[in-house]
Amino acid sequence: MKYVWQFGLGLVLIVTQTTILPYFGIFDSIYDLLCPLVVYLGLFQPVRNAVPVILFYSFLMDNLSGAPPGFYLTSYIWLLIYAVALSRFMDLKNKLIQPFIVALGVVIENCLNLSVIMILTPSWWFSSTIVWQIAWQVVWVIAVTPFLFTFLNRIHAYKPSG
Amino acid sequence: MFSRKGVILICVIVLVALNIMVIAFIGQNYHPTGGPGPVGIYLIAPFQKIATNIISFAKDVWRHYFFIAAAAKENDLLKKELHEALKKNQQYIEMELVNKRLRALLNFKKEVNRNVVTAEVIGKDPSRWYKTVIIDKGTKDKIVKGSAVVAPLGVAGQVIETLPHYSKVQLMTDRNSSVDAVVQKQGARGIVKGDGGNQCSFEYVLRKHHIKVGDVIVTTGLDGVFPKGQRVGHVFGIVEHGAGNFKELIITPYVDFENINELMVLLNPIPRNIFNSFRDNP
Repeated sequence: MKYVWQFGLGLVLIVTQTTILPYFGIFDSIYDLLCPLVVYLGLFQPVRNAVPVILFYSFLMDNLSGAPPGFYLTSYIWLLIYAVALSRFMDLKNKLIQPFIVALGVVIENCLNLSVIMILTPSWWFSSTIVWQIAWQVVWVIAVTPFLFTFLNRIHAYKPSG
Repeated sequence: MFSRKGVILICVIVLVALNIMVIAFIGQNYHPTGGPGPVGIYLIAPFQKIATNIISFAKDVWRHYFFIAAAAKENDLLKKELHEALKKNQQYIEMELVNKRLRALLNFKKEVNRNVVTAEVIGKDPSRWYKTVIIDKGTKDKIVKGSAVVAPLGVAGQVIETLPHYSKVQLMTDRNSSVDAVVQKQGARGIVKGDGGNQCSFEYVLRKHHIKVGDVIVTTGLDGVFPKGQRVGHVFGIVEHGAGNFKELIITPYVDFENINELMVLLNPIPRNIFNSFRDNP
């Protein structure tokens, strides 16, 4: 049942990100919506449960995006490693710190992306616009993560009757 | 010499660096041929199509029921403009006839008539660093990989992956996109490359050309993808590098890539013999 929720939620987030949000200019600087989900799975779920879901997400994202094939696969795996490593030595019950953990995950994903672009486009270099875009993503993720994590906690705490 | 944590940290850094290099290498050398193709699009595209239809419906309702008053005023204005346009159209028809007669006199080769398929954009790239879109037409509509994609205002991009009912289009603003183009007035040739944002750069333009801001860039037709004379954009800025033979132009595309909902795919690619004739007589 949890897998169905996780796969379903992933599909909803991907459709939201690729089809619905582009109609609204305010979401122009929105982060990768699956990133918090990957971090959540790494922080609060056993690795063996998180891996199939993350493979599914990364497969869809690699297919949909113009990024080099395998980019999302490897970046989500790094995010999972990051989240699992944090879960080993941090007090995750502190809800104030959770948005910042996800925000750092978003920054890591962006850094991986920009590093690949830097190699593919030697003439390209950082500009203030890019820094602002990432800063906005961080603001968004800090604002949205508490709601998303509350929702995910409820899903995982839900037990069907009977 | 190093603590255990230090060794782990160094290993992680090396692995991440290796990972980035491998992905970049794949990105440079990846050319999808055959195989199952982007199967994930099969899974997502139907939902994207439903979401697009719902949004279009909501927009239509908004437009039709809440803007009737504004529409009435606009209608009056458009009627006036239509009369003007009809007059101009008549003049253009006359000019076209004259043009045809003159072309016949000069024994000009006929331009190829290219079939067009109109497609709806149902999804955009999930990553903000790349510019691709998913359209709701595919190989069943005779779209092939490499087909040119245009919008009413100018060049939009190129089909990079196809499925029976869907295709992935790389927009002109994507970093990996390049279009052979020319400055219409001066005839200065170069390559239009996307910058990953809303603008493009026009590279390899010889310094000797006196190009001004506002000059129009059009396709040459020499890349074998886009027909000759398609509008690309206008010059927004000029970057003169210290030394070297070339200068770089910043281009603002005519197509508003943030708000594209419909695109036109040119079906029959430019035949090789036509391509050669364009090259011989640009």
